[in-house]
Amino acid sequence: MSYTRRLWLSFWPAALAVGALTVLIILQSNHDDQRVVTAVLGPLVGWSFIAAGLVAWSRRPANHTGRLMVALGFAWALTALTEANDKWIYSTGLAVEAIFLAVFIHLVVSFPTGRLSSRLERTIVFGAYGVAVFANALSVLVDPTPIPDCKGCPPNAFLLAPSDAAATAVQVAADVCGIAIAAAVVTLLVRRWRRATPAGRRVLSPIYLSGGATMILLGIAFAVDPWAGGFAGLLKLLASLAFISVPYFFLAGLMRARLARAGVGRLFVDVPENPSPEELHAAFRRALHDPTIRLAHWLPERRLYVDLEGWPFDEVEAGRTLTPVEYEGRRVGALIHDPSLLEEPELLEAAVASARIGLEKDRLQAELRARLIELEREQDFVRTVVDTAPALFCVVDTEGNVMRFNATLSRLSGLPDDDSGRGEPFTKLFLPSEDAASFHLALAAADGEEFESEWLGAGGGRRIVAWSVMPIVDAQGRPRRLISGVDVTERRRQEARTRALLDAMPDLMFRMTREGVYVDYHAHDEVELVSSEVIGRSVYDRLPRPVAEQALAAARRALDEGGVQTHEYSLEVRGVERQYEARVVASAADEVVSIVREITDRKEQEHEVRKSRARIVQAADAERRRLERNLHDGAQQRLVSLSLALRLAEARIPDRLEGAKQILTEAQQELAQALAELRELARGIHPAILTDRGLAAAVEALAARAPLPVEVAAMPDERLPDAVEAAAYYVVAEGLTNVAKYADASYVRVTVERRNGVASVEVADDGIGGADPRAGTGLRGLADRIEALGGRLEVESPATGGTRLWAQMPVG
Amino acid sequence: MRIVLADDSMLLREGLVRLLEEAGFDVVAQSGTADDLLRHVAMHKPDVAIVDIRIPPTHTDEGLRAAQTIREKHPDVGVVVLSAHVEPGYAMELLADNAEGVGYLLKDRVSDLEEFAGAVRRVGEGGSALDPTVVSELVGRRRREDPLEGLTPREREVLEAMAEGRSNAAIAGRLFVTERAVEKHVTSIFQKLRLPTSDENHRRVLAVLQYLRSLE
Repeated sequence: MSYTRRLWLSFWPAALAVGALTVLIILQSNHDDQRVVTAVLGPLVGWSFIAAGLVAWSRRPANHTGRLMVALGFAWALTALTEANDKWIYSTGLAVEAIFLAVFIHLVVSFPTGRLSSRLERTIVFGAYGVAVFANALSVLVDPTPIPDCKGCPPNAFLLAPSDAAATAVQVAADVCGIAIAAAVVTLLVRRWRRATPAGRRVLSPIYLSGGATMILLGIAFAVDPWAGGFAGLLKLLASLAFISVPYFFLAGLMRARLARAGVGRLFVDVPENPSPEELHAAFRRALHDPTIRLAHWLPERRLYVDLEGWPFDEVEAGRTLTPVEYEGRRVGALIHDPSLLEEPELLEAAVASARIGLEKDRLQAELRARLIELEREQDFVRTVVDTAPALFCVVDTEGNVMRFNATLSRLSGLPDDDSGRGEPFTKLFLPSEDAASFHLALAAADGEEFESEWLGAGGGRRIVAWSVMPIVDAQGRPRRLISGVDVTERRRQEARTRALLDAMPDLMFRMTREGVYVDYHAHDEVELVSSEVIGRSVYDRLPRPVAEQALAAARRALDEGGVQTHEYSLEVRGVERQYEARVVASAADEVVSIVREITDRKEQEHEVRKSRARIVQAADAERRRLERNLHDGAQQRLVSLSLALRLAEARIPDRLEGAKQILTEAQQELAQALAELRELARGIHPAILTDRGLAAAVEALAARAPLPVEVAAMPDERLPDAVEAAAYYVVAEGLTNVAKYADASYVRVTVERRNGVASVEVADDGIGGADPRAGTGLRGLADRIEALGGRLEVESPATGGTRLWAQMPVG
Repeated sequence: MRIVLADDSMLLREGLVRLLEEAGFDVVAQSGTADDLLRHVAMHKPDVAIVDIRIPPTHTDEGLRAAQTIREKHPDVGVVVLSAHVEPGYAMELLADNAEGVGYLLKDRVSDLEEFAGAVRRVGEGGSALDPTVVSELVGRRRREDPLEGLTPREREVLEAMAEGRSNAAIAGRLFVTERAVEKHVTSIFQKLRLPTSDENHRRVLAVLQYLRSLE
């Protein structure tokens, strides 16, 4: 037994029985003026809904609409109970007569799926049920005359507390709720209609038309009920009549879907043997009543859909559904349609089956069309690239006559991009006459070798173009030449500027790899370098080994650490020793530029200056020695002699001249003091022991007199040059003086060493540190003295403690 | 006591001669150069040769070298070197390993007649005389771990006097104590400094000076 039959067998007999019962009740009614009308309309409405509902139910078992319609049919039948003469049946009818309205609202709101999908929809439907059940039940409990002015109506059997006021209140409340619900339903339906697609509207329109009419009539009836009861009654009757049409309209919609399926079945009969895309679409649109439907081919090797004209479409637009069409297990195309078609699966299936055949018929042509479109697109693309590229292109025949050229060349030359230049010699159109020879050479060779040509461009400016000629074959297979040109004007100008800049520089420039292989160089004319002896050679080929290693180390430093790395070296060039300074910077990932400048003159000047400073210091030292010796041999001798003379004089003064003796004694004491001071002064000017006994003895003497422990940690065994010894002595003297004055140290270590031709002097203490090396003139003068000897003086005095005065001087 | 004198300053030389003669010395010869001095010494065999450290021709340390030559060639002749400035290094060079008959005095010292005459006499008698300023530089030097700090102030004074070349009796006279007390101090000093004791004066001087020099 089929599902459909089972449904009919379950519900139809009940429907018939209920119908018969209602007819019986109505015909016996003693309070209905239009018994016959009611007896005919009543069961018809009920049966219409039940029958249409059962059809819908069996056709769409998953859709609740059918069930709701059946329920509505039975709920309708309950209204007939109010026709009964028995007071109990009559009163029950009064209590339940509005339920069918709630079911109807439920049906309309949930159409077409039969399901409530939004909160608003649920609110409306629950409200409707609430009002229908409670308002009538309450009314029955308080209203002594539920049907006003009813003649022959039996008494209200459920009346508990008769109250006209309460009855009116309940009535008004029910009316207000009814109006609100009706308004909400209308709003909802209007909104839904607006959003619906054409196919959707096609499905919605019958039920909206009939349902909407019913609702509007009922809404007006409720609205005018308090003022014009009779008119409202009439409206309610009209609403009932409209109500009868609802199931038939729905059924009509259903029948239309079935008819559409039959239309689809006819589709491929209507489609001609080789349908054009328009014909195919037209047939589908007719059959499915969807003017927007589209068919698509599937191109398996390209893995994409193209429409019937062959245009690929990348994605299905929003609000459309793509249903693939398969043929013998492989995809052949797709139907792009309104999603509402999914509601009619049989129709969709039939459409797909028809599309399958139509698409298969059109398949080869579609592929050809797609290819053609693709080719056209490709061609457009190539043309765009060729015309927008900054390069100049011109195709000529083997004689050099122009066949075509691109837009860039047209712009640059000012020649219109049409056929006017066709067949003219390339040389005539685009080259100055003096370059014709090189063009013909390039044309004959056609090997891509560049030649440059200068000409007046469209803008009047001189342009330099680098041309090259390559052999090509045109679409017809004829040999052609592609002349491509690059506008190198800016590049050449830039190069000229750079060259001028380089030429103006006195320096030599080398570009070389990390491994020390020369890549390029630039030298001004006076330097006689032969390219083949430089480029590709290694630094080891050109420079003595130590210098080459120095250069390589600088290159590595420049590459690894960045910045400018400098190194100095001397080379014998044509028998003359020359000094050079190289500044090395990284120029690429593994390449450096080395800028070499001859600094022989500067070095000589520096040397001269240093020698001159050294001479000044030496002269000063000699002067100090002379001064010291003069003090000793002159002033001191005389003072000592004077002292002796005083002594002798004192011995000769008789004892009675006590006062004179006293004066002499005091004079002697003064003299002794003067001698002591003179001695210190002479030592400060120049320590005799330094000249006589050398640095070790002099430093030892300094250490002995220092007011804190001094360790002389090291002293060179042999004498150093006078100037170096003097400088070293003054470093130690200054160092010890400063330690005693500022360092708050407990210990000083003095080290003088000679190593690798360098004398170093160090005075290190364990004091507080933090000395400012710039403070005081003592250190400045000392630094001058040491720099004059080609050495340097440093002070390290960290705030963490300890001061180290440190000098280094070359010792020939 | 016979003296030979060398100083290139005529003025000073004359002054010294008169001074020495006044103090009872017999100045047998005087010269202005080192060569002259050596000749005079060889000729006169004096008891003491007094020489300025700076004499011609170079005016650096000829006097010192002449003194060393005299000590080598004429061990019996005492030598007193006069210096315009104090350098313990020179003194130690002069003394080398023998403190017999040698003196190193600051030139200024000559004006203190008694001191000077005493020193010359000490040297003439085979003793030694070191200028107090030289001694005080040696003793007074700052050291990190100074063994001299273990001495009492009085012991220090005794040590300095010893280094100057003075005998116990002289030290006693100078410090106004008995010779016995000086001996006790000397024993104590030698013990504290762990020096080998010696009765001979000039050995004692040398030991003390070498010890002081050895201290850094």
